Parts: sequence; structure tokens; C-alpha cells
Amino acid sequence: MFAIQPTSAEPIYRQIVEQLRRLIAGGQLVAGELLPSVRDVAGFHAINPMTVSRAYGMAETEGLLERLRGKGMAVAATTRSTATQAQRMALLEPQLQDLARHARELELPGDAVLRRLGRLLEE
Amino acid sequence: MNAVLRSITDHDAAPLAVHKLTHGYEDGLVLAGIDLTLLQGSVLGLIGRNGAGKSTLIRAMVGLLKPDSGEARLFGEPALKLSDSVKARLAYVPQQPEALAWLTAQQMFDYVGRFYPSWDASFAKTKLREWGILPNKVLGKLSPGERQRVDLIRALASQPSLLILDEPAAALDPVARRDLLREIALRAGEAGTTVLFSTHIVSDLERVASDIAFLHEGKLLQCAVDETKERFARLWLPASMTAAAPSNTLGKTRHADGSLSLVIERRADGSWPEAARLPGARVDALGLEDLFVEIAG
Amino acid sequence: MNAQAMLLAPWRATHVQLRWLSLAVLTLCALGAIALLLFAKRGEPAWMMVGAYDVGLIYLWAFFLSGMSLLAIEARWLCLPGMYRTAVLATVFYAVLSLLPTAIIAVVHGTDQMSMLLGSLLCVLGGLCFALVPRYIAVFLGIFPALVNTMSRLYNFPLIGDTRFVAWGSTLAMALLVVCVLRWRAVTAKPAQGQMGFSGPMVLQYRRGHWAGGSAINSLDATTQVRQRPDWMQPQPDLRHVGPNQPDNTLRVALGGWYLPRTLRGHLQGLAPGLLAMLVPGSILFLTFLGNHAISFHAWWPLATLLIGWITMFGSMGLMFTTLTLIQQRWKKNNAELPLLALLPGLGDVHTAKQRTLIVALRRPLMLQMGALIALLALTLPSHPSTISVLMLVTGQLSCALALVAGVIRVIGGRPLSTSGTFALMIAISLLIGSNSLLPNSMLGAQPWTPPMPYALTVLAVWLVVSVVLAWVGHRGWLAWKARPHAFMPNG
Repeated sequence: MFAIQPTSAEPIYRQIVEQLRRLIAGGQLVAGELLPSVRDVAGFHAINPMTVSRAYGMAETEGLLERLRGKGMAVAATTRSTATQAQRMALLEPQLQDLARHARELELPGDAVLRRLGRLLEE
Repeated sequence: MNAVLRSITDHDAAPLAVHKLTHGYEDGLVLAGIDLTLLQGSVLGLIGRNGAGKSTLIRAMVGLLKPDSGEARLFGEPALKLSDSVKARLAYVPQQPEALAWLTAQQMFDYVGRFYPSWDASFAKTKLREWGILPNKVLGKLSPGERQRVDLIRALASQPSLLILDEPAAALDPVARRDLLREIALRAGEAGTTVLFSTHIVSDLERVASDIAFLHEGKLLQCAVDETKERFARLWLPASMTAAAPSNTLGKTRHADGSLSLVIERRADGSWPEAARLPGARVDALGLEDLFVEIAG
Repeated sequence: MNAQAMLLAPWRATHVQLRWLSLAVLTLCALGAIALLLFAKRGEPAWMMVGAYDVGLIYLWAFFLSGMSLLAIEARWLCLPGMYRTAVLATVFYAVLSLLPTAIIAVVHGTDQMSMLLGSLLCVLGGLCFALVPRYIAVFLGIFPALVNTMSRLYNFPLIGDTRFVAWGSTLAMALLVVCVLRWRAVTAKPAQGQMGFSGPMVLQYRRGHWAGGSAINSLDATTQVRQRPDWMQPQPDLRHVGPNQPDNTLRVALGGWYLPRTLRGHLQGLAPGLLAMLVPGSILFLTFLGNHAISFHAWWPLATLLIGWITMFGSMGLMFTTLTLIQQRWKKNNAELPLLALLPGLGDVHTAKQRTLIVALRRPLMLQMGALIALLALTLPSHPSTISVLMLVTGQLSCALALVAGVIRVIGGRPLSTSGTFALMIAISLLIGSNSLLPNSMLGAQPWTPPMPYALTVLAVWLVVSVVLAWVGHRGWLAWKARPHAFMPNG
């Protein structure tokens, strides 16, 4: 379910949380859906189970997931409605910052970049 | 979580504790006062350049080498004088194991298994089949990779509480390597096995290790994997700004165009040093491998 | 390719120690030939010179110039056809060159030129053949001359000097040449790693360097030994009496080699190759004897004494060296049995395990050595030999035992003897055993021969010195052993 790159500079637990956020915000994971167990995720990717629990724990505090007694982790019921536009926008923030930096380095005028971006969004 | 682990280790001595360990050979000091403590359930990846002394350190830890000074303790007992009860909880796989060349894998397991109270014979049998090793072939006739696999199975089948592996992945193919990492990860997470393994393949370490220890020039730098990734970054400063570069940092390199790149570390409050906010400065994330190269290179 | 490369090829293709040893043997043979020429009064000096030179040739080709095939193998596998051609041409060139001295002597001598040349050619081809044929055949080639000698007596086989020799010899030379060419092709067609086994050629063994002497301790580790044995020759261990309550057997399994406890079938399997190898020279000896004497007790008894005497004397010495080599190897590797044993629960506390290890390592070889001493005494005492002879025999055997104890305790104590020290010890003991070796036979007969007093006293004095040195060496080993934290610390 997760795409994990151990060599990335981003810690594995952050990669999981990030992907959970995106999957839930994008609707691929719906409220009440059970997540694979810590053991399954750890076994599948050959990563430390502690890392997976840590990620799930973080997602739980963020309100993305909730713990079901005896069943494991599930997507929290409230998630979908609370994912406001502002929250979803925040998920895009790192990529936007990267884009802005590249544009500055290439000394491109801002309105040309925005025009191009607008066209890409319309496609 | 850590509090729980502490309370366990309080009444039961740490699986592994190294105190001011120093050792040298004729051509100089290899270990210069190493201190290290492993908590139960942690997975420590020991990393360092070839010849940095990883194997020497590991051999001193399991009592195969008498260090010049300092000592290693396993479950509270000195490594050079282990009791049977501690030995039963400990498994060590040396680099390129060559033990008992005259026995077959099956005979070796039969022989060794008798000494371990919690020996898992069916695990040994299954793994042997999974890893494609003929149980009736004499060990001496197996390839180095196969012998390493046999010895890893031997170590895992004794169900140790502390598992020490010296370059376990060096002779394994990618499939067997992933399989081994999975075994290590699950045992650490579920059975609370403490694992120490040395490697120079950084991605192995990043998968399963909770902590890393860099061995460089006789000193050990121990840190948690995730925190390390978040704490360090590479800063690139254009030529005009190099005067403002922080001093005494790692991996300072001046490029041909006069620009400078260096490794920066977050301050106590989690922010980057001022230099990161200079005009034209750029902060790039830094993987463990890059960090290793910056430190040891 | 150039001429210089061709001339230097054999020099470059062989191990350093082997190079000097070969040169020394050839020089010795040449000097011998000259000495014969100067001092020989009877017989044909020309034939004697050629004979001495031929012995040198066999050695040279068996151990030194055959090294060119190693060069050829490497050239093949590194895809260097030029180097391969150099190796082939150098072999042919040196073969012709080898015959040149014989040719000169033959021309000067005037007669028997063909026989002389043929004799040398047979030596060249025979030596090369020895190096190239599979090892299981090569081990029997050593007795080939004895076989020819016996056959010639029994079946009127032509020898050198016989008129039919030229015909016989050239047929044999042709046969050897064909064998050499075929084997050369077969050997160079495969990479060296695949041919290290028992069916591989002898020549590949030279690369390890233990043939050159001196470094026997550093060669032949357990894995290499296992790899060289075919599966049916692998020892069959007996693991029935192994476990936490049987530390002695456990340690024997871990020491391996001839300490390994075996099943009955395993014992038989282990003995079979040795017996088989004994069978061939044994039957030749028998045939020789049959030709010369009627079978009677009087004829057999001296022979049996001589044989059993030598087996027991040289056996104890060999046992000491093999045991020392084995123990040194086990304590050298830090990735083999020692880490396993050091962390194996159930061998008792540190002190007990240390003691058991020493006892297990020493008990079997010492018992065998004592058995050999008893057999030796049982064989010689009935003929009432002189006290001094018995004293010499007993001192000799006891010194072997002392060397064993001292050597083993030093290794387990963590202060193994240096290679040069071991070598010096090896030479001293071999010389002394050698000087004792004529005793068993001399004690037989109605009036046992007593060695001259000065000789006996000298030998005994040297034994005494060696024993004192050994005792000192052993004492230092004992102290080191006592100071060692545990027995299973690698010395490497």
C-alpha cells in the first residue's frame, strides 16, 4: 500500500504519514477502512515495526486514524469532512515551494510560470 | 515507549554495554575509548569504512578479543567470562563464517541445537529450504554466501535475545538480504530481540535500524536514524556569501565557482542556523549515505 | 612475444620458494655429476653423470618447469593468446635444452648415445607427466621405478643398457608424450579453481606453496581439505554422544580432522583410501621379496621389525606435526569454530572449558604415541638390546610427546610458536628421529648391534638439549594458557 524509499532523506515514518494524509485527502482511503497491521507493513517492506507503529501513532494523534479495539487501525470517521481546502492546500505546500525556488533559479518571470501552471491545471 | 524500555532494563541489565573500550594493533589505535549501550528491542546498525575497526569492536563485544583497556558487558556479565545462561541468550555470526566445514547443514544444526534450550528446529529446517540450501551437503562445499546463510539460520534458530551480526548481508543476494532484514525487523519489533549489525550498505541500515553508530577514527557516534535524517542538511552558499558560513561544521567543500557547500545541524529549538536564511542560500535534505560520506570522506 | 619473455617464463610462473629449491636441487645434481666424474673409479663415469643429471631432470620437470602449464591456464582464462604461445614454446624450448647436456656427454662418450638421450627424454616426459596427470594417479607414480625394476626381474623387462631398450624406451616416450599433450590440453581448457580436487593435476597444488616446505602450517585449511575430497571420502561424523553433558565429544566434533568421532562406517570409509594406497606399494614389495627369498619367518621378521619400527617412530613424529598443524589452524581463524565454541552454552564455566579443551586436544595423540612406544619396545626388547639403544629409542619417543604437549599448549595459550620456530623444531626432531631410525633393525639377530658410544652419547646429548628447550617452551605456554581469559580466543 505504501511506497517506501529507505534511502530517501525523509524518515520512513514521515513517508508513511505523508502518504496516509494524501490517500485519505484524495479519497482513496475511506472512513472506517481498516489499515494493514503493523506486522504486515513491516514484514512486507522489511522495515522495523517500531517505525510503522510510530507512523500510525502520529496519524492517530493527527486525527487521520483511529484505533478499533481488537481490530487494529482504521481511517477515522471524521477525516473526510474535516479535510478542508486549506488543509489539502497545505499538503501541496512543499512541492509549490520547490517550484518557486526552481523558477527563481532559472530567473523566469512569475506570470509566465503561473500561465503555464494554469494551462497544466486545465488539461 | 522509552520509559517502558527503561523500566525493563533497570531490573535486567542492558543486553549490551561497552565502557571505555580501547584497542590497538601494531600499526595504531583502532578503538579509542568506545562507549555504547543498547536498550532491549533496539536495532543498531554499526557503520564505518573498511578497516575502521567494526569487526574488532564486535569481537571485543562478544569476548573473542581481550581489549587493551575498558570492557564490554553482555546482560551485565563481562564478555570475557560469560555464564551459560547468558550464552544461551546470545547469538553471533562472524564475517564470512567458516565453522565446521566437515559437517552438513543438518548435522551442524543437530549438533549446535542440543545446546540451546529454545532451539527452533522447524524454523531451521524451513529456512534452509526457503534459502535454497541442500541440508545434506558438506558445509565446506557450499559457496561463501550459502555458508553465511546457514550460519544466519543457526543464529536465528537459537531464538536469541541479543543478536550480533558482522556484515551479515555482504555475501547475500538481494532476495535473501531482504528476507534477512525482514527477519531482523520482525524479531526486534515482536520478540523484543536486540540486534547489532555492522554493514557498509547504508540502505539496509535505514530499513531496519532504529539507531546508527558511525565508527570513525576510533570514535563512535551513536544516534537515532530518523532524528539524524531530520537534524542534518546540506547548505549551499553562493560565492558572495561564503564569508558568513558557520565555522567548524562537517563536510565543507569549496566548489570551482567559489560557492561553498557544508553540512548544517538544527539548533536546539529545531531551526536551522542563520546562514540558511542568507539570500541565495539553499538547504537540501541529506540522506544517511551522504551524511556518512561527509563524515568519513 | 619476445625471446626474453620465453626464457624467463618458468622463472615467473613458479612460487618463490619452489624456484630456489629447484635451483638448489639441480645444482646439487650437477655437482654430484661432476664429483662422480672426478672420483668414480669403477663403472662408466659417463653413465653415472647422466644418471645423476637425470634425477635432477625429473625433479626439475615435475616441480619447476611444469609450472609453465599454470602460466598457460592463466593465459587461456585471461584471453592472452600471446602469453599462451609463450608458455607452450618455453616448454618445448626447455625440453630440448634439458637434453643438451646429455647429448654433449653422449657425444664425448662415443657409445650408447641413443640410450642416454632416451633416458633423459623419459625423465623429462615422466616429470611433466607426474605434474599433469590427475592426482590420484600421480601419487602412485613415485613407486613407478620400483615397479619397473621388479617387472624387469620377473618378466625380463628390458632396462637401460639392454639392446632392446631403445625400442622399448622410444615406445614409452611416445606414450608419455601423447599423455602429456592430452593432459596439457585438458588442464588448460578449464579454470584452475575447478581442478583443485583429487582428480585435478598435481601442478595446481604447487601454487599453494606448501610443497616448497616451511609454510605447511599456513596451507590446507579445513574448507580447502573438504573441497578436495570427493563426497564418498568425506568423514561420517558420529553425533550420538554429543551434547551439553558430553563436553569431550562436543569438542572433538568442533576440532574436526582426526579428532572427529566417526561412525563405524565412517571409520571404514576413512581407512579405505589409506589401505588402498598401501596396497599397491605393499604388493610390489611382496613381489620383490617373492623374487628374492623363500617365504620364511627368518626372512620376514627383520623386514617386519624394520617396517613397524619405522612406522612407530616416524608415525609419532608425523602425528605430532599433523596435530600441531591442525590445532594451529583451528586457533588461527576468528570466523570459524572458535566463536561458535566461545559462545556455546553448556561447556561449563570458563576454567573447566579451558581444561577440557587442553585435555581433549592432547589425549588422543598422546595415547597413540604411547601405544607406538609400547609397540616399539615389545618389538625390540625380546632380542635383549643394549641399554643405550633402548634409552635412545625411549628418549626419542618421549621427546616427540613433549614437543606435542609444548606445541599444543602454546597455541591454546595464545602464544603459538613462530613459523621459523616451528620449522627449526621440525628439522631438529626429524634429524634426531632419523638418527634413531637404524636402531630397530640393528637390534635383531643373535647378537644385537650396539651403536658406537660416541655416536649414542652425541645423539642423547642433542635429545637432552632439545628436550630442555621444549620444556622451557612448554612452560611459557603453560603460563600463557593460565593467564588466558578463556580457551576459545583466536590467535589471528
